[in-house]
Amino acid sequence: MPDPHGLDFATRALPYLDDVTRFARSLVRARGDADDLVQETFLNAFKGWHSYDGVSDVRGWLFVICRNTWHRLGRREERYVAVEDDGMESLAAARLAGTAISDGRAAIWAASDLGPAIAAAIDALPDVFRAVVLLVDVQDLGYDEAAEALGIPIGTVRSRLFRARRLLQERLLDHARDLGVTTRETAP
Amino acid sequence: MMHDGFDCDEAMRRLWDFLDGELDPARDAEMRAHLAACGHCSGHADFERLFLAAVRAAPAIPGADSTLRHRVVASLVAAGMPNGALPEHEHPRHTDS
Repeated sequence: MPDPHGLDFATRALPYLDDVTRFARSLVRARGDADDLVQETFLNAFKGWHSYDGVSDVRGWLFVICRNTWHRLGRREERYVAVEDDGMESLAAARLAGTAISDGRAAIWAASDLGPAIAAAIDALPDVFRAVVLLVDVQDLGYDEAAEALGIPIGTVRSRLFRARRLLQERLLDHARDLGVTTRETAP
Repeated sequence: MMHDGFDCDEAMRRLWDFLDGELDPARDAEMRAHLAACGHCSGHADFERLFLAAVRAAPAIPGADSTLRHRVVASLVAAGMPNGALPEHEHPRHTDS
């Protein structure tokens, strides 16, 4: 007789293997450590499948198990002094945008070969910023989904995300300057 | 500059939330009205939209490769998950050719 518990897990949880893998790789840089985390997450989820309420989003439930497993394995977030004023981050980003628009570096966003530079800039972010930008901007989670997955308040997601975007823009606009992307004309 | 009840600083404070679809309908409508009336802020919004599009177009994080997939499934089967419900490509002994 088939085991309904195991069959249910195989058909409802296992299809999220790719999503959980991407989530783990957002939390953990080293590929081997991330893969260990994925395996441990699915084992813990299988053992705890009876506690799943059958209604809530399975993917979100798996993300929470992944994050808890990550913490239990002793991998904790680096200490980060929060920038809680996300309004100030937004205004700082606006000033940066104003400068880049006026000097022409804004044209860098249309460059067709920007992907590797963006990937490198994301990878250079501190862990807490990297995780949030990967979840929201790359994997398209909402602020609330990212907050639940990471176990942090939505306000912290916003402040980390806005800071991460500004750091990315600074790095990529420096890259634009290095490439000579500008429309500013020099005075005769 | 004031447009529709709030100034450009307020518009810039709300811009990321707006672009991420996180504003409530009333504030979203206020932002749309402000951006329609303010060339300065709409220029900034275009800048940020293009930036986000470039980030989203960057190489995605890969999902599970076949090695990890087989490893996870094998460990689940060892823990008691029946493999009868798994599609053929998920079986632990299946190998990609």
